Amino acid sequence: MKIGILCSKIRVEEKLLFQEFSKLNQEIVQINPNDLSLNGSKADFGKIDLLLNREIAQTRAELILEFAEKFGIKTINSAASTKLCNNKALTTNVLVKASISVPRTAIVFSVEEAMKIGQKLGYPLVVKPIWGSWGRLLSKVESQETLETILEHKQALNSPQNSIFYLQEYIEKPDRDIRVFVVGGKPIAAMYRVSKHWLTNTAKGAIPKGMKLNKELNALVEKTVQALGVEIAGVDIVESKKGYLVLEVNATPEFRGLKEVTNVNIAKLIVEYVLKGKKYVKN
Amino acid sequence: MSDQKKEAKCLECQAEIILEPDLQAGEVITCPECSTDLEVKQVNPLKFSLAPAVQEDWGQ
Repeated sequence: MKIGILCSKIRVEEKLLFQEFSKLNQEIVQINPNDLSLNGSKADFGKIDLLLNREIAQTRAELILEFAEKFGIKTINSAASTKLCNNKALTTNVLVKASISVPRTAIVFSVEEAMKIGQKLGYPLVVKPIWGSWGRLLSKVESQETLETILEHKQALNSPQNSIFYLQEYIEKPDRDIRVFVVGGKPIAAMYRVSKHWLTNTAKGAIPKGMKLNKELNALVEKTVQALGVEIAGVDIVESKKGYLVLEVNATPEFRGLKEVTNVNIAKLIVEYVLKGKKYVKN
Repeated sequence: MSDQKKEAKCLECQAEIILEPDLQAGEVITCPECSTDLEVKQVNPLKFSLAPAVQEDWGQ
């Protein structure tokens, strides 16, 4: 059995995964999108049976996963679940439908409608891009006037993506949020991401702090990843006055921060799960 | 694989950079002097390029 790892950048996480595969003498091949030429043949992927997605560029990763699946190559995560997680609007839609608690959210397509939603959600509120990660381009908006200005600036960027507005109520929280790491649909480790800044992404400087999973978190996370169909994921959760709320789900999660505050060998668990899953046959 | 550390020069400032022996193509290293990000294109012989800027859809 041959396993491909889709990635153009070798980050700490990919290095650890390569090392764990190597310890088990498992043959792996790096599938670098920069070297791929998809001509509609299974041979494009070099005879692999399973493709583990670790690609940093989400748009091309989605497309490559779809191509791979067409040739019967098992993908982790699947193209469909990756697409759901990469698009915050779709993620929210799936989670709401599955009765999973999320902050009140609206996706709108015009500034005029956004202004009405702003009044309904109240201020402050948060404007997020539909795509993207690491807490980039998020705005905490304090007033109707500021919302109008920010949305006008987004529209002036003249890209279709930036003209879809994802508006979300601002959640008062402790100076932290929670990242739960999932392998095989099950939570395996978690951390607080602590920051005085309202954005608590580690990419924005939040400090990882170890925490123990509990029954309530486990149940929420399992339900969340099941709804989205992701096998390996990072689920971001905020502690609100009303309880846990799911913010977003990452389908190719980094774990360098979590690795520092947990005894769980995340890379090893991913590798063991991937090896178990290699005989999986998609219906 | 050699366990010897490798040396290279930064493409931007020519500072000497010490590289770990397990360096792989695709890794991004940061010059300790000028903070330029360099992408390893090839390990043997060593080849670098300036790492691309973060794209809009990059993420985890």
